[in-house]
Amino acid sequence: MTWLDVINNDVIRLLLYSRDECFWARFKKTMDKVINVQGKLGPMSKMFDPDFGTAYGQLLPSDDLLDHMRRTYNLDIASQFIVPPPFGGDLWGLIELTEKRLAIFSADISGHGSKIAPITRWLHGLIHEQVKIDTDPVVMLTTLNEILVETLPRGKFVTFFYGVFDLSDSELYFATSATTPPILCLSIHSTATLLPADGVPLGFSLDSEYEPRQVSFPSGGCLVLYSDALIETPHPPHAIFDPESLANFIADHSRLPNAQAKVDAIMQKLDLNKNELSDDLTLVVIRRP
Amino acid sequence: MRVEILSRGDVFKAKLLDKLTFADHIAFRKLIDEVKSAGSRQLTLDMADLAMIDSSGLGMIMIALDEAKKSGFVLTVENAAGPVMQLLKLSKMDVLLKVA
Repeated sequence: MTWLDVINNDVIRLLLYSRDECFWARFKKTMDKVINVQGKLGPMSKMFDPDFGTAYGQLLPSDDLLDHMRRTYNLDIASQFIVPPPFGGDLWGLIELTEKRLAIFSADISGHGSKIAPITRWLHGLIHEQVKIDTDPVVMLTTLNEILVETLPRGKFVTFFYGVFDLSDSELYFATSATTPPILCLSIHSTATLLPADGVPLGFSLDSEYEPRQVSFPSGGCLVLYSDALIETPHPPHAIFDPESLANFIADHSRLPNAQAKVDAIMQKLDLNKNELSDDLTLVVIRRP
Repeated sequence: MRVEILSRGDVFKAKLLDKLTFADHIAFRKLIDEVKSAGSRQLTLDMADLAMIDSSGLGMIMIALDEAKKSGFVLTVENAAGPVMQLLKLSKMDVLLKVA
């Protein structure tokens, strides 16, 4: 495959996002890198499906995939994903690595609406191809950052969490770029901890470096990922949750029997009948029984 | 967002008030253009009365950093606090730009 194979008319849409006169030179360089990095991303035309609403649903973990992951890894997984118009650029996913290793990611692309839809699909493809080459969290963020720096228009960026559960040694290895702080509860008796989440947003600078991080994820542990809509509804300072109060809420509800009950409790407290979302909402709870 | 220009010249100082969000991208762009036109060597953004920066606002700060690098002026932020400072730290902008 060469970069010429990847180009088609749909890519003109990418031009809409670029104000850079060197776009084509940058695009070729980027595509060379993409192709080198991940071998085959597939025809880019497939990433600009006009029926994005339908296509977008396919980017998220299906019920079948979640069931498969629950059985394969003996994990209790529940999620909530709400997209109020216009589309806001949230994305999350699970990727089977080995019998004992499972990758999880959560991304938020800055901006709203149909302009960021192709970037979302492209990012989804990049993540899935990159894990075939290297599953290391720092390598993942560094690689995505290099590609996005060359591709995204100025001022656009991606906040990102990527982690690998290694169930053989009960550890979670992860790296972050300015994401909302993940919350970890080690047992029903422990407090909930806000994990570090800092890092230069992906797509800003080639000089960005990302830190390797590692925490225990023992039996009884519970990880909660969420997007900023959960802590910005209604708008601060009136939001129901901030990261600290969300962590306290999760600790207070640690005895709930399963991940779905925890999701339900958080959503009930958020009360979307009264409080309107202004951005995509992602909430993922993964519990290790 | 409201912008109050406190000083022009070698050090261009502007106070940002309320919120920095997508709705402010034209005003923010105009501010950067004004700094470039003035040939200032430093842009100081006083964020004491800025209550919030959303993701679009963060993008504008990233653009300002980029412009500062290209145009040769130093971007400085002062008096950031609360959620604004938290976002600057989360995104490591507090390292990339001068925070006083």
